[in-house]
Amino acid sequence: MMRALALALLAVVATAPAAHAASPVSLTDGFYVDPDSNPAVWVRNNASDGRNAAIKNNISTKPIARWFGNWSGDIKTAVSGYVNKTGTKLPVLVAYNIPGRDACGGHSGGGAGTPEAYRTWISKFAEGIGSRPAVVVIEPDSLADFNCMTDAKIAERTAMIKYATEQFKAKAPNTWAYLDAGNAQWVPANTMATRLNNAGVRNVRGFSLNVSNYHTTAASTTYGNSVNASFSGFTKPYVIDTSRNGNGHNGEWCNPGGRKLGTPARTGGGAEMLLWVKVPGDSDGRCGKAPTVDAGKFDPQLAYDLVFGH
Amino acid sequence: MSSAEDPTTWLRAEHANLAAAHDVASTWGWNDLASSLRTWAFNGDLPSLKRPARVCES
Repeated sequence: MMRALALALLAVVATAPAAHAASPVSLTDGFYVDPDSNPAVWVRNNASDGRNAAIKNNISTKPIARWFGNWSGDIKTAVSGYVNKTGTKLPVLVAYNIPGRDACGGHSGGGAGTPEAYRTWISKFAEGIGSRPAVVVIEPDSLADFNCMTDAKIAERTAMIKYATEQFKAKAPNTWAYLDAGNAQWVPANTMATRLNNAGVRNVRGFSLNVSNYHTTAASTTYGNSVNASFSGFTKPYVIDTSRNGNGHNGEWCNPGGRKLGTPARTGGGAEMLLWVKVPGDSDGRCGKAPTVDAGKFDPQLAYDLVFGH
Repeated sequence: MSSAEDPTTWLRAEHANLAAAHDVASTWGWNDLASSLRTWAFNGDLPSLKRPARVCES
């Protein structure tokens, strides 16, 4: 009797329009798996490669973020085209075009040519999402690599990031945007809290940790909680990039060996979300195990090794 | 409802339709269960369901 009643109600509810809440998670029914991610394209084009099955089963069929920068063409068109094909799934996007990008690392340099160009770019990025549900990571490393910048450039960058937060707040109401806060061993938590606050973290959902890095989820959570404890009068949710943190950090950040895939994208898990922000198999630069592979280029051996922790 | 009639039995049977099960649980005011079902549906996994205490209060 009870089961019959429940299933009858189930049938009625299943055909009714979904009730929409404010969060992008409530507006969707799972993370988006990009069929055109670098690993997915490689899998499609290399069916006979012995590494194909491992990369397909463990990487290309998982939700992975899509990065946008100065290679993306018209940014509004690129972003809207991406989010409009995700259906009922939740896409994760990365805005990576800040002027002076990767100031310390040097492997991913570039970005918009001027602050004004960046403002236009990030404004169009937010417009491209519009009312679609999305998760956005804003400018990985941008608030962490101040050591390689002058005070004037730091102030200029902080103002640009704050402008970005204002754009997402105003133009992408169903987006949860996260300001990047580096990783657990880069900048002291209280210093990062000040930088996030100055850069407008209160305008957006929260902050992101460990993007493209290897620190464990536990270490990242400890750091994230310390950042939150350093804010005055508020706390913020945070997300963690777990794409390559399965074996933790070994002191190297640029295509190190012995690293492993971490927990696939999910809500919860110790943070607001665990995400695969870095694309597993994409090179960190011409370094480590991939000395001839440019940053952002997919290398199947890097991907394959991440599956098995080699 | 009878506490002997465990709703997780049919929820487990309907795990392929967790999102709809969430709506049922929500409609009936089983909020903790509804929240868990929503998360499981979104993440695409089904942990072993444990009988929520609140269910038997209805």
